[in-house]
Amino acid sequence: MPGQRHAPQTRTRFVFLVVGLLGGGLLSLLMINTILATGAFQITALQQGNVTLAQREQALQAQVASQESPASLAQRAATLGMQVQPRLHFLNLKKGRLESEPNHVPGIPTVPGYTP
Amino acid sequence: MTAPGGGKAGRNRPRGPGRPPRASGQRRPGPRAREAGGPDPAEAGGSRRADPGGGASRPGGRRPAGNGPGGRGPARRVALQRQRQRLRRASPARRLHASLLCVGFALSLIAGRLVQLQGLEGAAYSKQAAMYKLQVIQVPAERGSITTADGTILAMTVQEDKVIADPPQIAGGTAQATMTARQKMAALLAGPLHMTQAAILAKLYHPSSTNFVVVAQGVPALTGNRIQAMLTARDLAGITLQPTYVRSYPGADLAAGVVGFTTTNTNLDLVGQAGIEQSFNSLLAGRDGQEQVETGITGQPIPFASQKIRPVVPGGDVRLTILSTLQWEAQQACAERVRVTHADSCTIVVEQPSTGRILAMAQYPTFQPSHVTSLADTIDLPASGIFPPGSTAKVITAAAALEHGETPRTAYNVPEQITVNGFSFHDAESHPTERLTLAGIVAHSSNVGMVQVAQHVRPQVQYDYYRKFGVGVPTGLPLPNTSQGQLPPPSKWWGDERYTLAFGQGVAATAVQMAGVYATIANHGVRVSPSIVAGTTGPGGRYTPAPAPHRLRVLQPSTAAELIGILQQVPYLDATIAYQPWGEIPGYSVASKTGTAQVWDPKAQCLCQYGSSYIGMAPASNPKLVVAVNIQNPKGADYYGNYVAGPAFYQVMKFALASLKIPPDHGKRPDVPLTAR
Repeated sequence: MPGQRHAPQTRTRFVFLVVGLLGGGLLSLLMINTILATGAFQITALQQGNVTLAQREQALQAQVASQESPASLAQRAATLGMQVQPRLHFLNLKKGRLESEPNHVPGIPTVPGYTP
Repeated sequence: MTAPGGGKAGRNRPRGPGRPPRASGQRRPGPRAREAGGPDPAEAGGSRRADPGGGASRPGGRRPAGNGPGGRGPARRVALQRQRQRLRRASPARRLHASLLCVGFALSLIAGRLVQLQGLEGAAYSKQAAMYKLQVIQVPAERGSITTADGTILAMTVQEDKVIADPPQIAGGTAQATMTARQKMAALLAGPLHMTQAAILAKLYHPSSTNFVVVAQGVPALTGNRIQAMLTARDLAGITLQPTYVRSYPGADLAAGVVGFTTTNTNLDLVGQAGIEQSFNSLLAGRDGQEQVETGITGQPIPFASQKIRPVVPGGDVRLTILSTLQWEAQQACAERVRVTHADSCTIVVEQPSTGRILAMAQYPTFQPSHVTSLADTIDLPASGIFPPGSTAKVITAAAALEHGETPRTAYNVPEQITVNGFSFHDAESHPTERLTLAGIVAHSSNVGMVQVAQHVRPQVQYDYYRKFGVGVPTGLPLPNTSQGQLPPPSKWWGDERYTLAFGQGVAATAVQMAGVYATIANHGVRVSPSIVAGTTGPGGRYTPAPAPHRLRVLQPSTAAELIGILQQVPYLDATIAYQPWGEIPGYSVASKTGTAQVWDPKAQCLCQYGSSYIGMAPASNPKLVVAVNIQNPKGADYYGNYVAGPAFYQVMKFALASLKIPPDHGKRPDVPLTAR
């Protein structure tokens, strides 16, 4: 009978199909896992890099913070020969002039440490 | 196969040929069975598969004809021999039963063990298994930072490493080899640790315990990484790096009293012990997270296998109202005044009257938050240290009098000394009897005059004004151990307290409270609760401004204006009479008050110490700033407020006006009559 003659062929095809599907599935699963594992390695490496960068950022931040603290600024200004301006000067925008307060205020005694 | 291989077995098979007995330990037919004409093992192996089909290889069907043990062989000798054989082997059925029993017993043992392992103890074992491949990682929450209003970092967290050595591990076979190994190690570490080779070598040879010595502490994380890489590359053992989180205070003692300090607890977490570090500890600390990961051999997590048990909550940040440069200037001024006057302590508070924001809160002595040596120095003096305010509190009773029928021109006869209800009071300096106005009494700071003013103010009213000005009530500052001052209610007043309150004795207040009194006057009579925290940044990174401060009208605007007018006389009087021009800042009008309080000396058991104050506001026409200076126990010949505290006021106020770019008002001193006819 032709049906029976074709049967082994159909079965072979079917077997090949199943085996192919299974094999393909297995292969793709393997690939997905491999990619994920690569990703995990990458993540770990990047995270380690991130930690190092964060530490560097922190170190730099600490350095900036200590250098911009008023005490350190004052010290560096002093080494550059800068001095605190003892007298107040005002820029009068209406007149476009710099107005300085007088050295001596009439009636006000000048004592050490007092600079009008 | 087993039994079915043998001919006898075939014949005596108790069950159908299609079902071979279950496997026993014997896996192939014995030599005797083969001798007896049984099929070879291969054939026997095939028989099982073919059996269900029945037929061909059925051993039972063929063999009875062969010379099996039960065959009808003619020779008697053979029969006898077989008899002996049979006796030796016993009955196959029994043998089968016995082996079946054995097999069954063994299998039941295995099954029992299976049930025990999988069912009864399964959970425990799977947990144990998980322990090997699962790792619980503590994700530390980094403690948040404390910054000033202008963004200067006052406190931050940095990761540092502790370099620990295990000297016995850095050794060779001989003393000479050990020396060489240790020298090599010391040479390697010397560079990155900024230590001499000899110093490291000394530590390796003199460990604190047999196999432990801390070579270096506070090693920056980056340096630590470099050392680790070097050690790994050279495959050297004996040095461990222990990462630790430490608090760094880049400004050193800048606002140390407000910031506080931290210590490390047993979990190696940083815990705030004073100041903002303590009161905002839970916000700053955040919460450590926990993550469970399955890790591969090199420690990389297996994808999809990690599980967050508890998410990490990063520490929040606190932003203060403090301005860093102003704070520094105030601290410098405090330190300088203490040095010059040999005082015990100094506090300076700079407050913005309209907002209640404290722009600077300096103290001396202060401390380094990174290495606290004395706990006493970590007390936040401006908010917790109390002192009798002395003459600076005269404005409170004067304000009460002004709002209850008196005017700045109300005149009093002011002798040098006065006796009221049996209590005598005298002024600080001798003077002839004068006819002073209320304004003159405050401006000249006459105790005798204030005693008379107090007689026109009911005790309850005087008490209420003190409280409305914020003395004797909590400041509401979010700092630990703040004081509300000492103000007994009128019912508990004893002796002359009603009169001494008029000039600031018999009451105690903090520097912050006294700055608040003048800020109330400066803010046209409305007291704004002081604040030190501008806002916080929560774990989500969102900045939340501090809640709006409480506002309370204490004085009528006209009373506040009258008081400012009176206080504007003080700098001029100080400059012209006492030659202390500290309230004269050219370009600005300044309203201020000096104070010299008598302070109880616990050693000498007398009121023989002094507390000198100078509090003022500028520009007087519309005050933008209040600076309050208080110096306790100056030991020079001159202990008056203007001499002791004045220079600090002058320095800080001038600096604040310039750095905050407050335009000059070129204000004139109002004409307030100080004397009457």
